[in-house]
Amino acid sequence: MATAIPPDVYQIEIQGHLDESWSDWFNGLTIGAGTTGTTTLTGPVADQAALQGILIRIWSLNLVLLSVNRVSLTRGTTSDR
Amino acid sequence: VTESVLRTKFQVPRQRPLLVARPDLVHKLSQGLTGRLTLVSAPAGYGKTTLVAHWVSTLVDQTDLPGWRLCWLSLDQEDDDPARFLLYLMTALQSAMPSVDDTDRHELRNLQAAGLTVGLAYLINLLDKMAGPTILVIDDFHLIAEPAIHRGVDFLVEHLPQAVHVVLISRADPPLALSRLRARGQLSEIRQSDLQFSNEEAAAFLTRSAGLSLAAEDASCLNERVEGWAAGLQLAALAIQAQSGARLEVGRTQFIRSFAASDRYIMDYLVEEVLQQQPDDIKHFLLHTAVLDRLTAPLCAALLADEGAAVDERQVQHILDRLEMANLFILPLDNERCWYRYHNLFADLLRKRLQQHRPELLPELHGRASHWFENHELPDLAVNHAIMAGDIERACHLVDLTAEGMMMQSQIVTLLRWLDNLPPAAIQQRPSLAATYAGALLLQGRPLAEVDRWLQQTVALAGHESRGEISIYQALLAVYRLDTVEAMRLAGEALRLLPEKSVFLRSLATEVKAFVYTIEGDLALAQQAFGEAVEIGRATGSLLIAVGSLCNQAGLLVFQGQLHRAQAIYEQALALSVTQSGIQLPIASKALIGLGEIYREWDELAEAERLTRQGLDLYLDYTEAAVVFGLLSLARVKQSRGEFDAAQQLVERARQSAVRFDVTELDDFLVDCFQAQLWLAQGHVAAAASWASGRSASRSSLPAPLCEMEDMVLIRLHLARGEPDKALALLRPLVTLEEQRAFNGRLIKLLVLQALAHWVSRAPEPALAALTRALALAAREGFKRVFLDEGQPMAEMLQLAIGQHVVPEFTAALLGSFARDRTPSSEAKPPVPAGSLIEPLSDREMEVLQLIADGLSNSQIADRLVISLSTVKGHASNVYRKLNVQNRTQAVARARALGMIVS
Repeated sequence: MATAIPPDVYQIEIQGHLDESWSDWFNGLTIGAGTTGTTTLTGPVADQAALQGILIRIWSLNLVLLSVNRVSLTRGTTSDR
Repeated sequence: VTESVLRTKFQVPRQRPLLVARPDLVHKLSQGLTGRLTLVSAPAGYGKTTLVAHWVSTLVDQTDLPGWRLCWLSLDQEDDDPARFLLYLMTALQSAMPSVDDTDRHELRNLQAAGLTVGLAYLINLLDKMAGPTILVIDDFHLIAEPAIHRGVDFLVEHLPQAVHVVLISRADPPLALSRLRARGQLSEIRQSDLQFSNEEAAAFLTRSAGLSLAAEDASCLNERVEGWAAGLQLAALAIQAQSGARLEVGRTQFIRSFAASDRYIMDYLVEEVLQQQPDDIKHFLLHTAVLDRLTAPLCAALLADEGAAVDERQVQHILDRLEMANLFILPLDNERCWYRYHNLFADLLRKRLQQHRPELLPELHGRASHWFENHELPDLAVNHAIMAGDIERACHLVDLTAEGMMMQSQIVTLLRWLDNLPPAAIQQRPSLAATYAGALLLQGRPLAEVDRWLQQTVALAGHESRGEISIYQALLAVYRLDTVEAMRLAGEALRLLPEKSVFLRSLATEVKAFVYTIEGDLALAQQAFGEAVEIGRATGSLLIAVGSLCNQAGLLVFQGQLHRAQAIYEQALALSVTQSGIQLPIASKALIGLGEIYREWDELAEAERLTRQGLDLYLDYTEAAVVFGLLSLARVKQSRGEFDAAQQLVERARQSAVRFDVTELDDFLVDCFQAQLWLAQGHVAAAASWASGRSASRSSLPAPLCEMEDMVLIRLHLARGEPDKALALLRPLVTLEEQRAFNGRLIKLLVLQALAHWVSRAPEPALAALTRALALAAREGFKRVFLDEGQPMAEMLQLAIGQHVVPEFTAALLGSFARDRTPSSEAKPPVPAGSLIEPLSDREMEVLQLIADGLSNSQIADRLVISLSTVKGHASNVYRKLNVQNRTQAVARARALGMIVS
């Protein structure tokens, strides 16, 4: 049943500065400083439900979401939204 | 404990005095009362709940206004289940309806099983009758994700009585029909930009909440940094208070400046500042209790216990008091200071710290919480924490314990959510749990193949364990497939093996048995089994089961041709399905549609249509399958009235419903048969023939009862094509079968078809013989439409019959009806023949009639007979219907004319 396709990698950008200690809270995504006072969360996201879970956590902390991009194209479909 | 924690769901959260008066928002909320819905939608920490709680308290306090009643419901994560949501909504709304009696309360509980929309329809009905101006507030509505609940709330808002207004508090816009309400001006909204503090408000807030009198520019600076966010300001105030040092003013300003200059996440910045300043016992407390959604001293003590050393509850209560007083992270939920909860946002932050610093504590803490909740009869919270603790064994054990109760209350969604969170292998190790899973899948309407596969795996692994639980779901599956032999065997096995206390599962098994007996024609046993189900329903106080089984009994009598006895039982079911406050339960629709079919057969078509429509209205979207039956019943009435276009439209609607309802193909089959029959009645032979050729392929796999149904249509097709021999060949075994089963109702239909077949083949003698038998069987119970629907050939045969004095009075009456059918102006109801009533009055109805004639009012009659007013009204309306009149004056006149009362 298991497939060899690796999960998609997503990069999520939020406003403000979040430190590395939040990584576990966001499913182990790598936390990095973005341009001009923003933070990026980058890493593999298992599926759309997992992505939704991360977005909900961002929202429930009252963080401002700036963008969500799929940066890997393993599935060969069209890119980001 | 269970009660005290539940009670907090229905209480307005306790108020601190409002820190910042917000007259504009309060005014906007009050203005919104002219519409149906107010939506307060903004992220966490904007003071949504505080604002609404303050607003409603001002409304309720205003003694000069007509008293608003207030119903409050705070949702939790576990409430994302249609059955549970309905239960809590009902509980919340009861305070708006002080005159609701025990019957209603009882029925509201029963209705949980019938589904959200049915329950809501009942609730709306009750509100309409009883509620004065009422505000229903539902807090934390974003916790709802179930589409069924969103549909239910849409339905509720759409059908809300004028006097009731709903306020939804949510962190995000819910997927409701908001734009429609907006367009109609019925939606009022409070959003993030409304809730953001202005700089002046922020200054006032800081002064009032923390006694901080900051310079105006410092306050503005803070407010701009947090963008008017109340939670951010509150935490900033705490952090500033924590700044110690001799030169206070300078320290504050410095703190504010560096905070404003930082772009770090506000909460990170401030929480650290605040936590650092707390004494160790508080830090310890916060870290260890962060896993809880709700806190109470004994529960916290259980989590804080160190190496088995108990912690003093009074000390814990003291900490809770200190936290509350310092406005640190927790909110009290009741006035007794028993239950608290963390502010959601802070709970997230504390949990993140716990995960980061002491991850090894997490399973231990969740495990302790799970045990505490289990010991305090809150099994669902115990399950949730066991799952969070990763203790699969314990989670399985707990789910297993509560499963039948959850099934009985229709909390299928919750049950499935738990089970979906457990590894399949762990479920399979417990056969009764595996059986529950199959049952939940079945009741949730998942594809039968999936259920079947799961059950087979379970049987293979289970051996002899939990056979009873497994058998009952296998029996249900067999019923869906109409495999009667297997269903019977399994239901019998289940009843043998299940303990007496498994009331719910045993009632399922009893219904399966009754259903099978019916199909197999074992009527005495079927009646007995339905009787048992009625008893179970009465004993457990479930009107759904009792009324449903009575209707099944009546349906059996119709098969047997005993229309009057069937009618009496349907009336009994109808009476049972009206609560003392006079509201009809949705399950009454089954009785109404059944009665409609009897009246149709009696050729009282207007009454038949009225009853069937009333039944359909009650169904709403009870279940798609049930709607199909109701629509086809109405189509049959329309067909009898000669309104073929209307009948065709109803068949189309029935087909749409049947396609949507996916659990069984039975409904699709019924629609197809009805459609073919309707085509034939209009002479569309080719269309019916193409249906027949499509059917023959799948015929071998068709269960016997459906074969018989299909044969009835095929017989008509043969007749229409001028192939009477083929029709007769099909008829012969069917006639023999119904003779054996003594299903006289069906036998009459078959004999009518036999007579027609002989008539078509120009054999009047055998035709007349068959018709004579049919007439003899039909006369006593007044079967009419079965003859009248056959049109011209039947009229000719009846003329022949009357010439030979066959059942002369009944035959003459039928011929009279034929004549009326042909007269287009026959729409007006034929008067009831003097001297007789088709449907006799019951003793009680006679009594009520006599008192009406004596000039007593309904309430005087109620006093005299010591029954409730609504019961009197029920009797009176039965009297009117049976006498075919509209009001009491006409009733008295008609009764006198018939010599039924003494004047």
